[in-house]
Amino acid sequence: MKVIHRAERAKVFNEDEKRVDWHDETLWFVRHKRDIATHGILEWGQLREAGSQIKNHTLSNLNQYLQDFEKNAIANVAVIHWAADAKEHNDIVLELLKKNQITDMVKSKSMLKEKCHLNPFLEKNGIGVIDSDLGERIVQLAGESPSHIVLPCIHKKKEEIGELFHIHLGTPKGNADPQLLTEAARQSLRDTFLTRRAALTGVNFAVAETGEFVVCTNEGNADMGAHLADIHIASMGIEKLIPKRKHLGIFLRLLTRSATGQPITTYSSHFAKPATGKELHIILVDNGRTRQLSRPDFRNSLKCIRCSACFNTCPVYLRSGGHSYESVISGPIGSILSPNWDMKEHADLPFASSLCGSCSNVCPVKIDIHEQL
Amino acid sequence: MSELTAPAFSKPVHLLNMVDDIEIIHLERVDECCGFGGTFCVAEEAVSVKIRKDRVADHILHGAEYITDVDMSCLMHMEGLLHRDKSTLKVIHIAEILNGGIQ
Ligand code: SF4
Repeated sequence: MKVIHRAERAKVFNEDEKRVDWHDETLWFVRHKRDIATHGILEWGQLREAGSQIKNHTLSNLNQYLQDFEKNAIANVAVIHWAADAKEHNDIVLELLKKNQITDMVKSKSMLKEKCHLNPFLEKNGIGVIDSDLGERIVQLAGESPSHIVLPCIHKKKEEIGELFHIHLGTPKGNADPQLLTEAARQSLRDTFLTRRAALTGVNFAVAETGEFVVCTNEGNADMGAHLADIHIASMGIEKLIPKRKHLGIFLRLLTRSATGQPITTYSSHFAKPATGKELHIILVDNGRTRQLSRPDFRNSLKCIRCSACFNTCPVYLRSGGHSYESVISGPIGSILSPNWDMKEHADLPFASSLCGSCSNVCPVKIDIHEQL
Repeated sequence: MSELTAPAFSKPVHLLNMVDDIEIIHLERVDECCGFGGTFCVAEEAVSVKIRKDRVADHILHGAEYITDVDMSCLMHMEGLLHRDKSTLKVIHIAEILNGGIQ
């Protein structure tokens, strides 16, 4: 039975106990920061309830909200594309790039694009892709996949990053000073930002009422990419919708406190209209989401706002690392979402839970994660 | 349920506080899992063992003499490690305490 595979990889991870402890403590610290941030908000329980209900409501009326969003986005002069699956999504991106004779583009963090294996697809078609999120850039240079949805290179120690940057960006050998490494990444990315004509971003929240969408980052890299490029392509899962702009207040408060313990991301950027002479494309992607929506036991998982709080509290994730899941979205919620994409491939993931329930309690939109597992 | 922000209230602790001569030790991670999880400890042995080890270590670090719980399987899971390590730390079910089990 496939149950063995993840467990085997987790066992290998556990051969280096010091590293397991380091991984565990690093992420537990994030959980701790989340606790401090949320315990400071008296109405946290109400916020979670509101977030949960808005998402439930939106999922139940998704057809209407999608049409509203499309109509309002078109009125903003954005171009809307619909993609039934990963292949359609990737083809749309490629076609847009080809039509504009673009061979290099910059991309900010997007788990959706990761899920669609967009980078390898574009590279095969002669398009160079540079990840501009620092963590994603690091795993890209290392030829790896992200091990965590918010902190993609959390499995790497700074010395390892120093080595990687020495090889790829020419930083001094043996130097792992975070300041120096960040500056090196910054300088190399600056050139990327200035020369790329197309930028891809993800979407955190899309507002049906206004046709706008919001991208949350701490580095500002999504903004830099999108503002400097001629074409901004934003890909979003169809579940990213919320009905009204006023609902953003709830989700922005929930998201970052749950993710890193910050009150809000450094940048919460609203995109609605393309600047004069530029283009804004929004790709609405299904890729298994409507199937998940039709399964009463699992539709709840579509409420996920990808905050990663369930990762940082999961005793199993903390002690097995993201790569042991061999899935783009790992951790507790990945163990529900991934089998929907490929039941056979990810059959072992739901076993990666001791069913302690911490994930469900930490989840800002009240997904009953451990019950689904 | 340290994840929630509602005022903390634990029935077991409330009951234990009514028993004389018990000092409740506070752990680094108040309510992290013991790693048992039923079939989980079979399917994912390595991780299960590591969670248990860390959970027990937290008790030892804070000078606990007993680990108590309302869940028998958690206790048995941790007791396995304590036996193997010939630890002086013991497990005891909360009912045993409430029935006057520690003399
Ligand atoms: S399932 Fe909940 S806790 Fe986990 S990433 Fe999604 S929103 Fe966050």
